Amino acid sequence: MNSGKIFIGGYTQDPHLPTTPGALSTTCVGGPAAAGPDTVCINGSPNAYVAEFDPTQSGAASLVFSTYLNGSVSTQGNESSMVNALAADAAGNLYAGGQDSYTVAEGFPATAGVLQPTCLVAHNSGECDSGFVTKLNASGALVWSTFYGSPSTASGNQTVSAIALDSLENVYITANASGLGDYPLNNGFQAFAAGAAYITELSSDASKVLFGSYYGGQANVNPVGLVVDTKENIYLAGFTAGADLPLVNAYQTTDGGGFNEGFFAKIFLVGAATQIAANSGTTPQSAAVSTAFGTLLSVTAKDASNIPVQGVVVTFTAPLSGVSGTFANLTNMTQATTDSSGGATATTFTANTQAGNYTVTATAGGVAVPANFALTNAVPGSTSLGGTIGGKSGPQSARVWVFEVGDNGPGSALGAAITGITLVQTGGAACTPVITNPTSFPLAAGNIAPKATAIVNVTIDFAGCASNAAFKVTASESANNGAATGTIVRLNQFQ
Amino acid sequence: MTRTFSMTAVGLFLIGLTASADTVTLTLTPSGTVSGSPGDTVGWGYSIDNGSSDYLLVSNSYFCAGTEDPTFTTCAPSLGASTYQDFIANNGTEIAPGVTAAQSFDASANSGVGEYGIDPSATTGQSDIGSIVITYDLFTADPFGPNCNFCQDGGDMELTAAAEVQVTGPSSAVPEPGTLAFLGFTFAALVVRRARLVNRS
Repeated sequence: MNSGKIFIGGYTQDPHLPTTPGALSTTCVGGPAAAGPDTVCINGSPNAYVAEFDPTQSGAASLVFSTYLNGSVSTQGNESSMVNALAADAAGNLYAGGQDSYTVAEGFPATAGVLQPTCLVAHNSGECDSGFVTKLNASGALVWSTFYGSPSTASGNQTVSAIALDSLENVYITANASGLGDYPLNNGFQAFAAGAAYITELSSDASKVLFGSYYGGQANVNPVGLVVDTKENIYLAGFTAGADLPLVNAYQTTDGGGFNEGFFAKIFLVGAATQIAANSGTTPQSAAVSTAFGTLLSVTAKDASNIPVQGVVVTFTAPLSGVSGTFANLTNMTQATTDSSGGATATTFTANTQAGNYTVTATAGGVAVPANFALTNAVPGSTSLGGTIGGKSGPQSARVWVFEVGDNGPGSALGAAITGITLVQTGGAACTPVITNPTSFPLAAGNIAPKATAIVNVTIDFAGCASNAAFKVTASESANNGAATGTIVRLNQFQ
Repeated sequence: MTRTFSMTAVGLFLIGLTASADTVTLTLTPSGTVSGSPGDTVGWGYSIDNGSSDYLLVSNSYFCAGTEDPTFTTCAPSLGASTYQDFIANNGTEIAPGVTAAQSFDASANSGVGEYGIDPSATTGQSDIGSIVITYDLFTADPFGPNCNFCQDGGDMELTAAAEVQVTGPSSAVPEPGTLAFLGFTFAALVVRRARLVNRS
């Protein structure tokens, strides 16, 4: 995000930081109260600060705002705050992340309605131990500010070490979790492990956690860089002393030695499943009556960004009666939960004793459109094909001829198709009709039960043909991998 | 190929009658059962009553063995290497509304429904029992005329009549052309018959 302004932040023990009128805090605190205003700060602990500069201005006019980001009172004499990371949005709002030991009572600027309006951990006789995220507007006024940390009572060094924004101004923060295992999580990809980093997406008003997960573990994982792209993918970089990072498509898969090594990770931010689709090879399928289908029915669940979603309960349902089948539980319904790849696989599905075509559906909560499996309970045996032209409709440039492909039986016609169509003109002024759909053959007609037909449409452009132009039409058919064939021949056909 | 006629009545009949029923019917003439020797060519004449209010245009004809139907299979004779050749569709047979059209079988004139070539290796006593199926389309106007603009009324339809080919004794001699000539044929004005080149290859 680029507002054209320059932002800086960090920490200081300088009591004379040039703060601006209306600044959130104009006073450096910390250190023994009796030591005097200057020495209080100089002898005390770090005080966080942030400032904004306008590079189009010069001199003092270039300083838009400058403020300490601390408490107003150092009760223990050693409270501190530090800004470790900054981000700014297009409107010039500034987001500062860091660590703090001032409590609200000591004046740290937390606001109402945020995720953690108070410090969750107080130790060392009342000091806070927490990370924080503060949003200031382009003038330096406080928009919101929240503590962010684990509620664990164990002492740690909770902090925010990197910060980033997405296009919705949701706020992404990360840091080493300081060995604390109860940071807020939401739809995470990894449970806590000692030494892990946390990665969190806060809503744009800092009121809730949209995403929260741990990353890595065992030895400390220390993120220092964080970027979020326009698709809300997270890019994380840092260093670790461990050799057990979760690796996917890694450039370097082994620890190269030394105490610390850099790492880089891309994390797909996964939303709720909004779509499920039958996996390739699972539909269409056919099986002889009373036998199991060769490929287990399976789907993949994805979110709106086409990222696979884990943990989605998928319900597979076959027709309750008539031509159908049963799952391993001997009923027409079963459930499966998606794995880390978003895949859910039903138990073995077995055709019942009736032949024909039917559909098994897969549904999931929050998914509007079910996945469908086109299944055929086939009658074993040889067959042959025939057919008719069932009708014609549409304008001259896009006449739709309806071909009906028939299965003579006694066996089913599996994978039936029209393999080619020719039109030979037998009357009227010469013209050249063009088959525009399909653009190539074979034209699939699906699985056909004995003495049943399947309909396929063929679009023909008869532009330039007179109304009395007559044709001989020949449509070649095939099924059962070529074991069954047939031909539809009709003379005296008009457009 | 030796060609002979086994039907007792050959000749071409066109009967101009107003159809009384709103249906289309097929009668094979003079009978659905024909006979011939191995290698002979036999066939059927027809009488089609177009009781509909549409023009009827034949689009194909088949000899379907047994109970076969061209909707489900590519019909063909079942007697060895016997063959069937359509005449009626290749002749572009069109029947006006309310008209009954008839035509006897004449292999040399390619008239009638079609011809059945009996497998030369067939033996006396064999038969091929099935049906003649004629497919046709209906049009609200003469499809060859100037007033038919996308005037087809529905899709394919079928006429079916029981048919049987019986293999009798040895092949007889080929009739002289003059024998055929006297049989002649007649047109009725109510039947529109459009000549078509017939590819017998």
